[in-house]
Amino acid sequence: MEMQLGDAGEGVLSVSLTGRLDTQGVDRIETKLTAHLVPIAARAIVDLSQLSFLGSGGIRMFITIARALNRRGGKLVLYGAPPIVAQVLDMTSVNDIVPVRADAETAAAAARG
Amino acid sequence: MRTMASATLEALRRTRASVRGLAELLLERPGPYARAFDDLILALIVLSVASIGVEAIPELPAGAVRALRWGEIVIVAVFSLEYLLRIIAAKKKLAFIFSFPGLVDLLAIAPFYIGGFDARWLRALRLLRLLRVLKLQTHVLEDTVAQRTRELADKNALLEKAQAQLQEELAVARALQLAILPGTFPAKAGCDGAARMIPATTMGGDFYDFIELPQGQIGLVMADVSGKGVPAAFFMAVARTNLRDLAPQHTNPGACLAATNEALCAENPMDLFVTVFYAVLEPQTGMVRYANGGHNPPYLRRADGAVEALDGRGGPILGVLPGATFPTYTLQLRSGDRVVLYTDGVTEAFNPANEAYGEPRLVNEVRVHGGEAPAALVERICESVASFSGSAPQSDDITLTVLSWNAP
Repeated sequence: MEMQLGDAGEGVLSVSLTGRLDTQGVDRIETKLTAHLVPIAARAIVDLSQLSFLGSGGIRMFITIARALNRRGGKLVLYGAPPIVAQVLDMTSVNDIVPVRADAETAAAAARG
Repeated sequence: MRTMASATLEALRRTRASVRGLAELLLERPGPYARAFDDLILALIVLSVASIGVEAIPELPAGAVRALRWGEIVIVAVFSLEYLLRIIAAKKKLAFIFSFPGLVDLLAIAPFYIGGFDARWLRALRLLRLLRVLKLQTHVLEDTVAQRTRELADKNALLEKAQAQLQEELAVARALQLAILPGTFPAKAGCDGAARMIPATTMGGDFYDFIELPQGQIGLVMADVSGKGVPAAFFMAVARTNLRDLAPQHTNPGACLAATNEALCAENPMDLFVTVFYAVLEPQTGMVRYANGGHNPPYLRRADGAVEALDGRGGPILGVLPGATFPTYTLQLRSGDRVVLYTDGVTEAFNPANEAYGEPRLVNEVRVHGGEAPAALVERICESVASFSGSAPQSDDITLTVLSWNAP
């Protein structure tokens, strides 16, 4: 599991994940990602296009960070999920809790708005 | 003659043994004697180093010189005794004699034996006796190392004990967790059911349940709590209890999940969630109503072998979204039908090549072996998953329930 942090412009941060977001993957990145986004109540978009697997641990991580951000006035939006990942997001109806969009532009708009 | 010789030998042996015993008592065995001897040596070292300074004072009175000489004799005698005892106690005598502490001990006493109080040797003597400071250093160092080693051993023992206790408690918790799961399917005409839960190494949160409802229906639960360890296990117990409590008042599955969701959202400090599939079966008619909260859609196998997923769009995972609603679907079972409920521990079982077992393999097992009794089908699927994953470790709980129905 690799994570890249960046800037999507206009006050929105970008996060890009590569590999398997299983229990080990979550252990590797959760603290860093939380520390990067939550204290500054960031508005952030997460690129899922390079994920080969999304487990329930990953779902839990996104939900926890999204709720922490929401409480502080920030926002987390996921986008670009490949089919296997999209299936999991769909089955768990994560979209009701953490917005899921098709691409970076709509995701950034959702994060700003 | 003979008895005298053997008696002498015996006496010598006993003497050697008792000298060795004395050496160990004073030098090695932890205890008041060794400690006292230790302190004595320390005091003498300090005294002998101090006396170097005193001797250097010019024009000492004769009495002082004599006192210093006698002091030196006593000190050398005790150091010599200690040196001899150390050699006797040492397992490898040569190794000790030529070791650094061994050489220092020797140098601390040798000048006296070589030169005595001879004036020519006196200066050399005084300088060499400074080496006794080194003896002091090695002495203190040995002491410190011995103490630290003892402390470390004590700490290790405590840690091992704490670890063992923790493992024991976790084992009890795991046993309790498994004990909550019902062992047998409720006895109802026309119905048969079997279930299996194979826990992963760390405590997980999968559970299934069979609930006998007031009007004779049976509630079937298949659920998966997010995460691992104690929080997941705890949330599993809470979720299972909430659902069981609410099921009798909410025989509509969608309403039951909604009520359970509210209860879980109200108390969820760690933001855990649980995916739940809940179905209510009427044994008399074979009618099934079901609702899904984020869980893997179960498979329905008709008597002719056709397999379909019960994948009507469900509601969200439970525990995080207050006010969520869950649509209820209806299904009519026919004689010989099977319903297979499972958690993602089955489909996401990985093999050493990092391939997942996947839905297609599960569907195939159900299609091919679904005609067998529920218990047999459960075993088949478990075996299939086990032989697929091979040596790869089990990362998630594997949970399965199979229900069969025949018109009574």
